[in-house]
Amino acid sequence: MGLIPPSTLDAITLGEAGTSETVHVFGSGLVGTLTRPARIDTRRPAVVLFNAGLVQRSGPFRVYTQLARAIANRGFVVLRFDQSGFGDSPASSGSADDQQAMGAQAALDLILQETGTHRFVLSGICAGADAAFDLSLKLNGVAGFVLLDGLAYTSTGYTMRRMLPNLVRPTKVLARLKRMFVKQSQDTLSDEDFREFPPKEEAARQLGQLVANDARMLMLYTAGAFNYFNHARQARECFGPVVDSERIQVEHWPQCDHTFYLRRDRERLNTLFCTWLETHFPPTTQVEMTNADADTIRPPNIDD
Amino acid sequence: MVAPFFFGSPDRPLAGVLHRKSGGDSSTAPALVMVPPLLQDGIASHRCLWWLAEKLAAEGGIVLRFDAHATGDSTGESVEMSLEGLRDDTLTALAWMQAQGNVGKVRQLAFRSASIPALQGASLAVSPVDLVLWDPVMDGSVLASEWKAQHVRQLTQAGRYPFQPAIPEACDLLGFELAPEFLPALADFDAASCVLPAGSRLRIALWQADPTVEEFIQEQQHSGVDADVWMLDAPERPDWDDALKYEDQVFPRRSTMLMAGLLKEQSTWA
Repeated sequence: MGLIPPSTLDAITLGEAGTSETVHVFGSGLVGTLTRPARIDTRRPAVVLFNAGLVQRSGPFRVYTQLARAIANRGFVVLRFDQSGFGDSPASSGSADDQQAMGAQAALDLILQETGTHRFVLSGICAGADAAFDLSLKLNGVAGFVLLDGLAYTSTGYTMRRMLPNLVRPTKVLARLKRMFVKQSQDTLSDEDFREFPPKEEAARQLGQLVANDARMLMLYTAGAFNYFNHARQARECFGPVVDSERIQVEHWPQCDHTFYLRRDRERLNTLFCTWLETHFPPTTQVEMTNADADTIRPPNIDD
Repeated sequence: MVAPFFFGSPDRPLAGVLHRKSGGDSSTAPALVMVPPLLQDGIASHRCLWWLAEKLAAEGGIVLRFDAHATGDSTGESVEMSLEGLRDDTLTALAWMQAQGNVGKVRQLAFRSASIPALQGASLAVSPVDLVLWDPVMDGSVLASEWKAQHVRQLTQAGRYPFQPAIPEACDLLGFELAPEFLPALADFDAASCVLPAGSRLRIALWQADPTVEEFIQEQQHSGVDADVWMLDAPERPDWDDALKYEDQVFPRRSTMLMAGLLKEQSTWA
């Protein structure tokens, strides 16, 4: 250890691609990390990552940090931030829905201010996916979303696929029953305490509206959605023909768990996400953010 | 007030969060560095330690939490994580804090597996240190065994893979990609080999009495360390072995409040 005190750094540079990161306090004291590529194409959307359940912005097993850097290396701006009351962000007053909406708006404002990017892809795991879906029609500039174990609804097909194999594997049924009745400690909270899907018809209508808006959507379901989703075709079973649109891509990874526990699943996620972004939001004539541009940009307003 | 930032050298920057009272006065502030717990310990205890840092800051202290290299928001691929690196990053954080103006002697708080880099770093110090260990790991071989067993449970019993068994790679452990030498190095850790400099202050907070800790305390005392145990009377020790709670946030509220009080009472806090 040298004698020179470690310095405080304004930003960090990541690898040879020239990707950089800065950290910010914005909105009502929310904390976020902004990852930007060496050259920013302001017409390509920025990705916004919402907290996975109660986990801080680096994500379960650091999945968000790695995902953000992979995406930025492909030319997209990424913000991962802690919503009110999560991670490093203080809790603020107001209803949870209001806090979520205001926090998201503040996140978009930050991205616009810092990079000039005015289109956004919202994303997250589990409750983060729910936030992304819920806000996708409430915020201006949403070009799409990527839902990781997001909303879905059981169907007759789901029930049949779920029940039939278990009839010949009673140990699985017993194990599942046991997990259903495990007492939760008062000092621990899990994701299931926080999820609530909108009515199925409303969700389908929302998807239809997003398709009409030319939004692009990727919905990835893993084994973590096992309780309510168990086959790629179930998307059509529960949302209807809207999912046939080329703007919607559904993936089912039954060998992958909810929080990408294994290295290869995190890498696979990075590849899928990046490929999807590059396919739907290819490079445009580059328009780089300059300091002069920053003064004239006005942030989008949230719908009432 | 929460202030995120980066510090350290340009080739090994660390992500940190500074907690201090808004509009605090310029008198000397008690300073604390929270050494990050390893792997899932760190993720699970994140909000708990955040809350504790905020509580201490509200009482006039200044607290630094940080992500070691290859963890959290710091740079580096996860596979680069090493015990030596964790130790050195802890020393970097201490040096950063000490270099700030208006701070008193810097204290360290290490929760659970954070005790490993904290003790390793403290044993290298040439001047007295001020260290608080909370539910510390004293024997790395025990922790390594527990973690290997938990990894198997995560793969086979936690319900992650309901359709078919998962086959991990050699680098996978508990959701992280680790170098092959990481776990053996962890298993080699023995707190008994970490002797703090004479004149140091050591406090160990426990939920239940531990003969190994008692012996460790006595050895430190023989070496001229002011060492003692804080017994936490709230029976809130998390069950770290429960496979179904592995990814839950850990927040023993009463104990955390007790820790805040103890840290404030037994330091130079105003």
